[in-house]
Amino acid sequence: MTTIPFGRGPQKDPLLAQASKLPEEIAPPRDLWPAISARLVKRVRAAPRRFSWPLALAAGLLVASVSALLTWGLMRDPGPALGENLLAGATVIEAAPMPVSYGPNSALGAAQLKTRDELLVQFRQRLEQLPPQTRATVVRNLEIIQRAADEIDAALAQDPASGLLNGLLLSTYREELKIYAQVVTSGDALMRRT
Amino acid sequence: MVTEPAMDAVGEEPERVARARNGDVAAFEGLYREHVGRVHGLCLRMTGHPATAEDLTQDTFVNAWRSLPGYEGRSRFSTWLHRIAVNAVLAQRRAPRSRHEVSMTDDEGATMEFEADQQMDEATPIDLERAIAALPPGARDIMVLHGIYGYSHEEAAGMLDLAVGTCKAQLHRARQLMRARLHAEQQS
Repeated sequence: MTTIPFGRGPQKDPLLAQASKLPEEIAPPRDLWPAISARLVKRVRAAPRRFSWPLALAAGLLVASVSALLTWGLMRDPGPALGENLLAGATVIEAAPMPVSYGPNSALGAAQLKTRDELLVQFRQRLEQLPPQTRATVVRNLEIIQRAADEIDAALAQDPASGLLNGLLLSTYREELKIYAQVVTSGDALMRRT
Repeated sequence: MVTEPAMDAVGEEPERVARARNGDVAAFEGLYREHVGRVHGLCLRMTGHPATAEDLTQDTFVNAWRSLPGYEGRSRFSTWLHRIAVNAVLAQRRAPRSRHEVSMTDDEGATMEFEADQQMDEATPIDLERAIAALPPGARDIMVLHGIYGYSHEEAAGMLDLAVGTCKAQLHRARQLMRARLHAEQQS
Protein backbone atom coordinates (compact mmCIF):
# COMPACT_ATOMS: atom_id res chain seq x y z
CA MET A 1 0.00 0.00 0.00
CA THR A 2 1.35 3.39 -0.94
CA THR A 3 1.68 5.66 2.06
CA ILE A 4 1.23 9.34 1.36
CA PRO A 5 2.18 11.76 4.13
CA PHE A 6 -0.13 14.73 4.41
CA GLY A 7 0.50 18.43 4.78
CA ARG A 8 3.43 18.99 2.41
CA GLY A 9 3.66 21.99 0.12
CA PRO A 10 3.34 21.66 -3.64
CA GLN A 11 7.09 21.91 -4.18
CA LYS A 12 7.77 18.67 -2.31
CA ASP A 13 4.45 17.01 -2.75
CA PRO A 14 5.07 13.28 -2.41
CA LEU A 15 2.05 12.58 -4.57
CA LEU A 16 3.58 14.40 -7.52
CA ALA A 17 6.94 12.84 -6.81
CA GLN A 18 5.41 9.38 -6.92
CA ALA A 19 3.32 10.18 -9.98
CA SER A 20 6.45 11.23 -11.83
CA LYS A 21 7.92 7.78 -11.17
CA LEU A 22 5.03 5.94 -12.80
CA PRO A 23 6.00 4.40 -16.14
CA GLU A 24 5.08 6.67 -19.04
CA GLU A 25 4.61 3.75 -21.38
CA ILE A 26 1.69 1.34 -21.23
CA ALA A 27 1.71 -0.98 -24.20
CA PRO A 28 -1.72 -1.69 -25.72
CA PRO A 29 -2.89 -5.27 -25.19
CA ARG A 30 -2.67 -5.96 -28.95
CA ASP A 31 -0.74 -4.63 -31.89
CA LEU A 32 -2.69 -1.68 -33.25
CA TRP A 33 -0.51 -1.20 -36.31
CA PRO A 34 -2.52 -3.42 -38.72
CA ALA A 35 -5.68 -1.40 -38.01
CA ILE A 36 -3.79 1.90 -38.26
CA SER A 37 -1.99 1.04 -41.48
CA ALA A 38 -5.31 0.06 -43.07
CA ARG A 39 -6.56 3.58 -42.40
CA LEU A 40 -3.54 5.40 -43.80
CA VAL A 41 -4.13 6.99 -47.16
CA LYS A 42 -1.31 7.11 -49.60
CA ARG A 43 -0.15 10.62 -50.07
CA VAL A 44 2.26 12.27 -52.39
CA ARG A 45 4.63 14.80 -51.02
CA ALA A 46 3.33 18.22 -51.89
CA ALA A 47 4.39 21.68 -50.96
CA PRO A 48 2.58 22.61 -47.76
CA ARG A 49 -0.34 24.82 -48.57
CA ARG A 50 -0.03 28.26 -47.16
CA PHE A 51 -2.82 29.13 -44.83
CA SER A 52 -3.94 32.10 -42.94
CA TRP A 53 -5.46 31.99 -39.49
CA PRO A 54 -7.59 35.07 -40.24
CA LEU A 55 -9.02 33.31 -43.27
CA ALA A 56 -9.93 30.22 -41.27
CA LEU A 57 -11.40 32.33 -38.49
CA ALA A 58 -13.36 34.55 -40.86
CA ALA A 59 -14.68 31.52 -42.71
CA GLY A 60 -15.71 29.87 -39.44
CA LEU A 61 -17.46 33.01 -38.21
CA LEU A 62 -19.32 33.41 -41.47
CA VAL A 63 -20.56 29.85 -41.19
CA ALA A 64 -21.98 30.62 -37.74
CA SER A 65 -24.61 32.88 -39.30
CA VAL A 66 -25.52 30.65 -42.24
CA SER A 67 -28.25 28.47 -40.75
CA ALA A 68 -29.85 31.43 -38.94
CA LEU A 69 -30.18 33.32 -42.23
CA LEU A 70 -31.53 30.24 -43.92
CA THR A 71 -34.22 29.84 -41.25
CA TRP A 72 -35.24 33.45 -41.79
CA GLY A 73 -35.34 32.91 -45.56
CA LEU A 74 -37.43 29.76 -45.30
CA MET A 75 -39.94 31.40 -42.96
CA ARG A 76 -40.19 34.56 -45.05
CA ASP A 77 -40.66 32.81 -48.37
CA PRO A 78 -42.65 29.62 -47.99
CA GLY A 79 -42.71 29.23 -51.78
CA PRO A 80 -45.27 27.67 -54.07
CA ALA A 81 -47.19 24.54 -53.38
CA LEU A 82 -45.67 21.15 -53.85
CA GLY A 83 -45.32 20.23 -57.51
CA GLU A 84 -44.39 23.64 -58.88
CA ASN A 85 -40.95 24.27 -60.26
CA LEU A 86 -39.68 20.86 -59.33
CA LEU A 87 -37.40 20.65 -62.31
CA ALA A 88 -36.12 24.19 -62.24
CA GLY A 89 -32.85 24.54 -60.40
CA ALA A 90 -31.84 20.90 -60.86
CA THR A 91 -28.49 22.01 -62.21
CA VAL A 92 -27.88 24.09 -59.12
CA ILE A 93 -28.52 21.10 -56.88
CA GLU A 94 -26.21 18.86 -58.89
CA ALA A 95 -23.37 21.33 -58.47
CA ALA A 96 -23.91 21.76 -54.74
CA PRO A 97 -21.39 20.40 -52.24
CA MET A 98 -23.63 17.74 -50.73
CA PRO A 99 -22.42 16.54 -48.43
CA VAL A 100 -19.70 18.98 -47.50
CA SER A 101 -16.28 17.40 -47.95
CA TYR A 102 -13.93 17.62 -44.98
CA GLY A 103 -10.24 17.33 -45.76
CA PRO A 104 -7.70 14.81 -44.52
CA ASN A 105 -6.76 16.93 -41.52
CA SER A 106 -10.31 17.26 -40.27
CA ALA A 107 -10.80 14.42 -37.84
CA LEU A 108 -14.53 13.91 -37.73
CA GLY A 109 -15.51 10.58 -36.20
CA ALA A 110 -17.29 7.82 -38.05
CA ALA A 111 -20.27 8.14 -35.69
CA GLN A 112 -20.65 11.83 -36.55
CA LEU A 113 -20.51 11.20 -40.27
CA LYS A 114 -23.03 8.37 -39.94
CA THR A 115 -25.47 10.80 -38.31
CA ARG A 116 -25.02 13.10 -41.29
CA ASP A 117 -25.52 10.33 -43.84
CA GLU A 118 -28.82 9.40 -42.23
CA LEU A 119 -30.06 12.99 -42.29
CA LEU A 120 -28.81 13.50 -45.82
CA VAL A 121 -31.23 10.96 -47.29
CA GLN A 122 -34.25 12.93 -46.04
CA PHE A 123 -32.60 16.22 -46.97
CA ARG A 124 -32.14 15.25 -50.62
CA GLN A 125 -35.79 14.20 -50.90
CA ARG A 126 -37.10 17.41 -49.32
CA LEU A 127 -34.76 19.70 -51.22
CA GLU A 128 -36.28 18.69 -54.53
CA GLN A 129 -39.68 19.86 -53.29
CA LEU A 130 -38.52 23.37 -52.41
CA PRO A 131 -38.92 26.32 -54.81
CA PRO A 132 -35.84 27.13 -56.95
CA GLN A 133 -35.02 30.34 -55.13
CA THR A 134 -34.94 28.55 -51.77
CA ARG A 135 -32.90 25.72 -53.23
CA ALA A 136 -30.38 28.23 -54.55
CA THR A 137 -30.13 29.76 -51.07
CA VAL A 138 -29.49 26.35 -49.55
CA VAL A 139 -26.80 25.62 -52.11
CA ARG A 140 -25.11 28.98 -51.54
CA ASN A 141 -25.03 28.28 -47.82
CA LEU A 142 -23.51 24.86 -48.37
CA GLU A 143 -20.87 26.45 -50.57
CA ILE A 144 -19.99 28.85 -47.77
CA ILE A 145 -19.67 25.91 -45.40
CA GLN A 146 -17.51 24.04 -47.92
CA ARG A 147 -15.14 27.00 -48.25
CA ALA A 148 -14.91 27.27 -44.46
CA ALA A 149 -14.21 23.54 -44.16
CA ASP A 150 -11.39 23.90 -46.73
CA GLU A 151 -9.80 26.84 -44.91
CA ILE A 152 -10.04 25.15 -41.53
CA ASP A 153 -8.58 21.93 -42.94
CA ALA A 154 -5.62 23.83 -44.38
CA ALA A 155 -5.04 25.48 -41.01
CA LEU A 156 -5.35 22.13 -39.20
CA ALA A 157 -2.57 20.74 -41.37
CA GLN A 158 -0.28 23.22 -39.64
CA ASP A 159 -1.69 22.91 -36.16
CA PRO A 160 -3.67 19.70 -35.79
CA ALA A 161 -4.04 20.02 -32.03
CA SER A 162 -5.45 23.54 -32.02
CA GLY A 163 -8.52 23.63 -29.82
CA LEU A 164 -9.79 26.73 -31.60
CA LEU A 165 -9.51 25.21 -35.06
CA ASN A 166 -11.09 21.94 -33.95
CA GLY A 167 -13.88 23.94 -32.32
CA LEU A 168 -14.43 25.80 -35.59
CA LEU A 169 -14.45 22.51 -37.45
CA LEU A 170 -17.06 21.06 -35.12
CA SER A 171 -19.29 24.14 -35.33
CA THR A 172 -18.97 24.13 -39.13
CA TYR A 173 -20.07 20.52 -39.17
CA ARG A 174 -22.99 21.33 -36.86
CA GLU A 175 -24.06 24.19 -39.16
CA GLU A 176 -24.08 21.76 -42.06
CA LEU A 177 -26.34 19.43 -40.07
CA LYS A 178 -28.58 22.35 -39.09
CA ILE A 179 -29.10 23.25 -42.74
CA TYR A 180 -30.13 19.70 -43.56
CA ALA A 181 -32.46 19.60 -40.55
CA GLN A 182 -34.04 22.96 -41.45
CA VAL A 183 -34.71 21.87 -45.01
CA VAL A 184 -36.23 18.61 -43.80
CA THR A 185 -38.45 20.53 -41.35
CA SER A 186 -39.49 23.09 -43.95
CA GLY A 187 -40.32 20.24 -46.30
CA ASP A 188 -42.64 18.83 -43.64
CA ALA A 189 -44.39 22.22 -43.40
CA LEU A 190 -44.72 22.33 -47.17
CA MET A 191 -46.27 18.90 -47.23
CA ARG A 192 -48.82 19.96 -44.60
CA ARG A 193 -49.86 22.97 -46.68
CA THR A 194 -50.59 20.91 -49.77
CA MET B 1 33.83 -9.69 -35.08
CA VAL B 2 33.26 -5.98 -35.33
CA THR B 3 29.70 -4.83 -35.61
CA GLU B 4 28.44 -1.41 -36.52
CA PRO B 5 27.06 0.48 -33.58
CA ALA B 6 23.30 0.75 -33.65
CA MET B 7 22.02 4.15 -34.59
CA ASP B 8 20.82 5.89 -31.46
CA ALA B 9 17.15 6.69 -31.16
CA VAL B 10 17.77 10.43 -31.00
CA GLY B 11 19.65 10.44 -34.29
CA GLU B 12 17.25 8.04 -35.95
CA GLU B 13 13.99 9.83 -35.24
CA PRO B 14 14.44 12.97 -37.36
CA GLU B 15 15.31 10.80 -40.32
CA ARG B 16 12.24 8.64 -39.76
CA VAL B 17 10.06 11.73 -39.44
CA ALA B 18 11.47 13.14 -42.67
CA ARG B 19 10.85 9.88 -44.51
CA ALA B 20 7.35 9.56 -43.08
CA ARG B 21 6.60 13.13 -44.19
CA ASN B 22 7.44 12.01 -47.69
CA GLY B 23 4.94 9.20 -47.50
CA ASP B 24 7.17 6.35 -46.29
CA VAL B 25 4.79 4.06 -44.40
CA ALA B 26 7.61 1.85 -43.10
CA ALA B 27 9.26 4.86 -41.50
CA PHE B 28 5.95 5.82 -39.95
CA GLU B 29 5.58 2.33 -38.56
CA GLY B 30 8.96 2.82 -36.90
CA LEU B 31 7.65 5.99 -35.29
CA TYR B 32 4.53 4.10 -34.21
CA ARG B 33 6.61 1.35 -32.57
CA GLU B 34 8.69 3.91 -30.77
CA HIS B 35 5.86 6.03 -29.44
CA VAL B 36 2.82 3.79 -29.12
CA GLY B 37 3.45 2.96 -25.47
CA ARG B 38 3.49 6.57 -24.36
CA VAL B 39 0.53 7.55 -26.53
CA HIS B 40 -1.54 4.60 -25.34
CA GLY B 41 -0.53 5.25 -21.73
CA LEU B 42 -1.64 8.86 -22.07
CA CYS B 43 -4.98 7.92 -23.66
CA LEU B 44 -5.65 5.16 -21.14
CA ARG B 45 -4.95 7.39 -18.18
CA MET B 46 -6.99 10.29 -19.54
CA THR B 47 -10.02 8.14 -20.40
CA GLY B 48 -9.78 5.35 -17.82
CA HIS B 49 -11.27 3.03 -20.40
CA PRO B 50 -9.11 0.43 -22.21
CA ALA B 51 -11.26 0.06 -25.36
CA THR B 52 -11.59 3.82 -25.80
CA ALA B 53 -7.85 4.23 -25.25
CA GLU B 54 -7.14 1.76 -28.04
CA ASP B 55 -9.48 3.60 -30.42
CA LEU B 56 -7.96 6.96 -29.56
CA THR B 57 -4.42 5.62 -29.95
CA GLN B 58 -5.35 4.53 -33.47
CA ASP B 59 -6.98 7.91 -34.18
CA THR B 60 -3.87 9.69 -32.92
CA PHE B 61 -1.53 7.92 -35.32
CA VAL B 62 -3.92 8.24 -38.26
CA ASN B 63 -4.28 11.98 -37.59
CA ALA B 64 -0.52 12.30 -37.18
CA TRP B 65 0.02 10.66 -40.57
CA ARG B 66 -2.42 13.08 -42.18
CA SER B 67 -0.82 16.06 -40.46
CA LEU B 68 2.84 15.14 -40.93
CA PRO B 69 3.32 17.35 -44.02
CA GLY B 70 2.55 20.31 -41.79
CA TYR B 71 4.95 19.27 -38.99
CA GLU B 72 7.91 21.61 -39.13
CA GLY B 73 9.92 20.26 -36.22
CA ARG B 74 9.49 23.32 -34.03
CA SER B 75 8.54 21.07 -31.12
CA ARG B 76 9.75 17.56 -30.32
CA PHE B 77 7.96 14.91 -32.32
CA SER B 78 6.75 13.23 -29.12
CA THR B 79 5.28 16.51 -27.85
CA TRP B 80 3.55 17.10 -31.19
CA LEU B 81 2.17 13.57 -31.08
CA HIS B 82 0.93 14.02 -27.52
CA ARG B 83 -0.88 17.19 -28.51
CA ILE B 84 -2.71 15.20 -31.17
CA ALA B 85 -3.51 12.47 -28.63
CA VAL B 86 -4.85 14.97 -26.08
CA ASN B 87 -6.93 16.58 -28.79
CA ALA B 88 -8.35 13.19 -29.78
CA VAL B 89 -9.33 12.54 -26.14
CA LEU B 90 -10.97 15.95 -25.80
CA ALA B 91 -12.80 15.58 -29.13
CA GLN B 92 -14.08 12.19 -28.04
CA ARG B 93 -15.48 13.74 -24.87
CA ARG B 94 -17.12 16.57 -26.81
CA ALA B 95 -18.71 14.24 -29.34
CA PRO B 96 -22.53 14.23 -29.08
CA ARG B 97 -22.61 10.50 -28.49
CA SER B 98 -19.47 9.59 -26.68
CA ARG B 99 -18.32 6.10 -27.54
CA HIS B 100 -18.62 4.91 -23.97
CA GLU B 101 -20.79 7.65 -22.52
CA VAL B 102 -18.08 8.84 -20.15
CA SER B 103 -19.18 11.74 -17.97
CA MET B 104 -17.59 14.98 -19.02
CA THR B 105 -18.06 17.67 -16.47
CA ASP B 106 -16.56 18.02 -13.07
CA ASP B 107 -20.04 18.18 -11.63
CA GLU B 108 -20.45 14.63 -12.79
CA GLY B 109 -17.15 13.64 -11.31
CA ALA B 110 -18.71 11.27 -8.85
CA THR B 111 -20.23 9.25 -11.67
CA MET B 112 -16.94 9.26 -13.53
CA GLU B 113 -15.13 8.20 -10.42
CA PHE B 114 -17.34 5.18 -9.99
CA GLU B 115 -17.12 4.19 -13.64
CA ALA B 116 -13.39 4.67 -13.85
CA ASP B 117 -12.94 2.60 -10.75
CA GLN B 118 -14.76 -0.26 -12.37
CA GLN B 119 -13.03 0.06 -15.71
CA MET B 120 -9.47 -0.04 -14.45
CA ASP B 121 -7.84 -3.40 -14.31
CA GLU B 122 -8.19 -4.77 -10.82
CA ALA B 123 -4.65 -6.08 -11.07
CA THR B 124 -3.24 -2.57 -11.39
CA PRO B 125 -0.26 -2.85 -9.09
CA ILE B 126 -0.03 0.72 -7.97
CA ASP B 127 -2.73 2.32 -5.87
CA LEU B 128 -1.67 5.66 -7.19
CA GLU B 129 -2.74 4.68 -10.73
CA ARG B 130 -6.19 3.81 -9.51
CA ALA B 131 -6.45 7.01 -7.51
CA ILE B 132 -5.58 8.99 -10.66
CA ALA B 133 -8.12 7.01 -12.71
CA ALA B 134 -10.81 7.85 -10.17
CA LEU B 135 -10.33 11.61 -10.52
CA PRO B 136 -12.93 13.68 -12.39
CA PRO B 137 -11.79 14.41 -15.97
CA GLY B 138 -10.45 17.96 -15.56
CA ALA B 139 -8.36 17.12 -12.52
CA ARG B 140 -7.23 13.84 -14.02
CA ASP B 141 -6.08 15.47 -17.26
CA ILE B 142 -3.68 17.82 -15.53
CA MET B 143 -2.46 15.16 -13.08
CA VAL B 144 -1.64 12.89 -16.02
CA LEU B 145 0.03 15.55 -18.18
CA HIS B 146 1.87 17.38 -15.42
CA GLY B 147 2.30 14.69 -12.79
CA ILE B 148 3.16 11.66 -14.92
CA TYR B 149 4.34 13.01 -18.27
CA GLY B 150 6.17 16.01 -16.84
CA TYR B 151 4.65 18.78 -18.93
CA SER B 152 4.83 22.23 -17.39
CA HIS B 153 1.63 24.03 -16.45
CA GLU B 154 2.08 26.23 -19.51
CA GLU B 155 2.51 23.25 -21.84
CA ALA B 156 -0.41 21.36 -20.30
CA ALA B 157 -2.60 24.46 -20.46
CA GLY B 158 -1.76 24.80 -24.16
CA MET B 159 -2.64 21.17 -24.81
CA LEU B 160 -5.91 21.37 -22.91
CA ASP B 161 -6.79 24.84 -24.20
CA LEU B 162 -7.12 26.14 -20.65
CA ALA B 163 -5.71 29.06 -18.69
CA VAL B 164 -2.58 28.29 -16.70
CA GLY B 165 -4.39 29.30 -13.50
CA THR B 166 -7.14 26.80 -14.23
CA CYS B 167 -4.56 24.06 -14.65
CA LYS B 168 -2.98 24.90 -11.33
CA ALA B 169 -6.36 24.91 -9.61
CA GLN B 170 -7.22 21.54 -11.15
CA LEU B 171 -3.91 20.09 -10.00
CA HIS B 172 -4.58 21.34 -6.47
CA ARG B 173 -8.00 19.70 -6.59
CA ALA B 174 -6.53 16.48 -7.95
CA ARG B 175 -4.03 16.30 -5.11
CA GLN B 176 -6.74 16.86 -2.52
CA LEU B 177 -9.01 14.19 -4.00
CA MET B 178 -6.20 11.69 -4.31
CA ARG B 179 -5.06 12.27 -0.76
CA ALA B 180 -8.59 11.74 0.50
CA ARG B 181 -8.96 8.55 -1.50
CA LEU B 182 -5.62 7.10 -0.48
CA HIS B 183 -6.28 8.05 3.12
CA ALA B 184 -9.66 6.28 3.02
CA GLU B 185 -8.02 3.18 1.56
CA GLN B 186 -5.44 3.21 4.30
CA GLN B 187 -8.18 3.39 6.92
CA SER B 188 -10.18 0.52 5.44
